[in-house]
Amino acid sequence: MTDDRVGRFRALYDEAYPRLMAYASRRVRTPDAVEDVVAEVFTTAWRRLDDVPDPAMPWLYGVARRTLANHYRSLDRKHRLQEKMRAEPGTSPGEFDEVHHALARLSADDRETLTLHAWDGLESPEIARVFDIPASTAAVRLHRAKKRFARELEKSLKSGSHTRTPHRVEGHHGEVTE
Amino acid sequence: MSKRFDGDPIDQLRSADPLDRSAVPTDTTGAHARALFQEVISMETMEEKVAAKPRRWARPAAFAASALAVAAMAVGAYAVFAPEEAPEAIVGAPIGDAAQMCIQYEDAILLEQDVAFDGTLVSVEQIPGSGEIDFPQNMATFEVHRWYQGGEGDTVTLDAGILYGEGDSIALVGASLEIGERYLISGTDGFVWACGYSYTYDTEVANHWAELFGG
Repeated sequence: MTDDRVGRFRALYDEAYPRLMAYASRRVRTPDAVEDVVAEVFTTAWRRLDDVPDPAMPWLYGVARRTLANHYRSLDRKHRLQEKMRAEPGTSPGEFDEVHHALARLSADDRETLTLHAWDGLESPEIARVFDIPASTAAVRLHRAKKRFARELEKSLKSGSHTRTPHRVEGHHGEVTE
Repeated sequence: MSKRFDGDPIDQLRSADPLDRSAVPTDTTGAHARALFQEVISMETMEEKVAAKPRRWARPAAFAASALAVAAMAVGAYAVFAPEEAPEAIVGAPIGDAAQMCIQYEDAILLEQDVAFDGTLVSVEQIPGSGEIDFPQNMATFEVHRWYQGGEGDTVTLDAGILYGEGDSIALVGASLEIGERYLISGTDGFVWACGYSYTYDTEVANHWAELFGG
């Protein structure tokens, strides 16, 4: 281990740690799981430091995305149980139920594209690197996702009868999003 | 109850950010951040692992060619695109919907699976949920033709989860496993991995796995 390597990782870590903690906190339910996901991302970054591009954040978000997919997969049962337990009758509608409901009705890719943009602050060229797709494709995907989200939001507003708010962005393996 | 949202939907989405900012660190001065940093930099690096397994990055092109063949089959055009020099080749398909990029495929991740093998699904035991776990497990037993990584013996049992059987979730993950079919399966923590990490048997992918795992 060289000082240069540690120094490079230190710079990456200082920038990425708060952002990855926020990213994971939006998408998994427990502090322990958030820490596990973030630890896995940084472990990958450390081991593959020479492969990490500049800027590093889109690449790190991509690793985080894959790590989350594994997390959802391995904890599928537990997660479903948690969802079931959360689905208790009588839960009051949240302030942003319509927004969350509209988001939950989108495809996983649309959800991730929109939330990376709106919540994590990524523009389409960075989103492209997260998904490892061409920038033009990401731009089109973001544009279309916005339109689909707007349509779903309008539907939610019209129905206006939701009972639960999914507080986190759910994953890619059939997680209940309600 | 009905509310009226005006303006840019993205602005509405930003307003609905579920993040509790008071609960998320804004720098790396906290105890967890400092401990994690020390833990990570004390770990073995990839360079050291690659030195131990020099063939781990082999043949990305072969996998890409296989993926192209699978895509061609999906649109019914395999006869046009299939390589003439290998008419006996078996073309498989990913278990789970890799096209949805539920997890991006990487050789490095495949190499870290607990097990990888060529096998035929011979039975699935559905274990009913009980107590807190009120949903079934699908324990899939494979007759192993070849181990690429981990494991031993003629059979292995992994939890196929939602990759077996029919249900609401199948539509979200794509193809499911079927008894009697031959597969290239990888798995970790007792689960079959989808998303490009398991296939119905595919000659090119099998060759790639053999090289990748140093077989």
